[in-house]
Amino acid sequence: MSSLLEVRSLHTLYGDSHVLHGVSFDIKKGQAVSLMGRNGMGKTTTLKSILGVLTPRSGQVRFQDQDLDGLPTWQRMRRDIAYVPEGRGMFHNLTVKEHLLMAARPNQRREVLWDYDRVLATFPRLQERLGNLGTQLSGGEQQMLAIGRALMTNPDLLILDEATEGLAPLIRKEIWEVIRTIKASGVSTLIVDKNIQVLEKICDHHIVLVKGRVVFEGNSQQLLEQRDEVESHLGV
Amino acid sequence: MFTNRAEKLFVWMFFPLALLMPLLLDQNTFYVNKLATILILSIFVMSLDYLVGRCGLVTLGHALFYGLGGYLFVMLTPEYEAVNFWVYTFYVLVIASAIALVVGFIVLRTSGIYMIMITLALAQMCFYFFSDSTEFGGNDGVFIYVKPETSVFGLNLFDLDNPTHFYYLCLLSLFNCLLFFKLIMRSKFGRIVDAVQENPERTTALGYNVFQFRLASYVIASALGAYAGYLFALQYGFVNPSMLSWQTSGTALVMSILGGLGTLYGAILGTLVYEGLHYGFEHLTEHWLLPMGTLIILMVLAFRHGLAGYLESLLGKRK
Repeated sequence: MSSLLEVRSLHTLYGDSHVLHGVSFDIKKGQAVSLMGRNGMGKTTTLKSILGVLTPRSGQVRFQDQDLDGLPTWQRMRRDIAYVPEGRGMFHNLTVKEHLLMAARPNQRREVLWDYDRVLATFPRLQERLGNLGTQLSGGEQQMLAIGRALMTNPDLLILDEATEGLAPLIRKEIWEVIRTIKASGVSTLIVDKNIQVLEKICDHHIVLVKGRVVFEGNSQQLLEQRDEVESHLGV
Repeated sequence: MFTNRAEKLFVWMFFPLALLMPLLLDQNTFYVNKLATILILSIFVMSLDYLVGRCGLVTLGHALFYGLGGYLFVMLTPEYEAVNFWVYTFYVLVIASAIALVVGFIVLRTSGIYMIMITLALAQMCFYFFSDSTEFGGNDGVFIYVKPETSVFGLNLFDLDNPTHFYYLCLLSLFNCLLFFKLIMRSKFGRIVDAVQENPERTTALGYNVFQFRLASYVIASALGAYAGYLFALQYGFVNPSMLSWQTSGTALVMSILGGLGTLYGAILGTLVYEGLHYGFEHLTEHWLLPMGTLIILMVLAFRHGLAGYLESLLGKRK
């Protein structure tokens, strides 16, 4: 399987504070990858470095065999990367329908695999709330809308930052089910979360960050074998 | 098109009434002219309202384009020859858009207070340029001796010298302007503009170049601001640097806030009320600015979302 995303030796700093110390990993086509770590270990910084929100001091990010270095965030996203930010990122002045329609576009190959109808079929709850403003939805519905909006861009890679943070257990279950559906559709996913029990079942590959360094990288079998060590890194 | 109840009510009341006004006023030239000025100002305020209220781009230099609209017409036309209104409208819109593209490219690199300062500085530079220019009449401005003719394929549609005809041209322009902005806001472009105003970083993360959307909006608003200035120049037959002054921008901003920022139809409401108060107090006392200023402060405090917001809350439909 060829690599979709290649992250090589990322060193990112906030002012004088060195946050990422040579982070490297790959995401292959159709693969679901988890990025785990305690708070402040560099997960969001890694995502921001990939998306170009932060400029790494050194290192390289390649997507579909093309170098993303130097490209602004919006151009990186146009290469068929979609991002669901932590906190869901609703626009308070747009309705559910407007959220979906404003994001709609075909991918770079001019294919429309996820359109308005398919997204609503995947998230039937949103169908009932089309006229509501994004901020008038429950936390779970907001998360569904954020994922639905990202899918409307027909991405090859979907990045989810803290996808189930602050949600009720039943809603979390629903979100995980949706992520399974997305994975089954062939979209690669990079999931930042703390729920190791679910991630080991959903994701094919796992990365654990501690103080900006990759301390574990492996498949679900390897994760199971080193579960105690990984859990100690995660503070579980 | 007009989905909000308050907006629908306003549009259905205002435009039919405005259509009848020349008849109700018995074609009184003074009042018809006065109302035409209010309609022109409404176009100008609406273009600013779109920029400030819908795009989140606060500018104190919008008068730059209002003045340029008038001056461009003077620069382009021969002094004693009646040119075609439609052709010169096109010229003014295209040239104003081109200037807005350059100005926008500079000013949109900044935001917030810095954008206010840079737009103010650019408008004041133009103000002093025309004030000091002997070619453009300095502070006195320039007279337009011959008004354009409005023929299309040899058929003269209306007479710009006729106040009633001119009034209807302004009314049609205002209605088209409102319709145009409503269409924009309902389009995908408008939704992205809304998203940019709400959170530019999030919009960027969806793969949109925020700068391009802001620049496009700036050009649209500036071109319509210039069109308003062009109409003003045609109505009064002269242009002078006061059209470019920061007071013109500031007054338009007050009208927009008074009407309800970002509501678009609120721009008409704000202009009507402001100009009505202006006219009323001016005839009441020599020191009209004091009571008028006090009343505007009280109104802004009382109607937090402007007059349109108050109307919407009365009808229970504020989003």
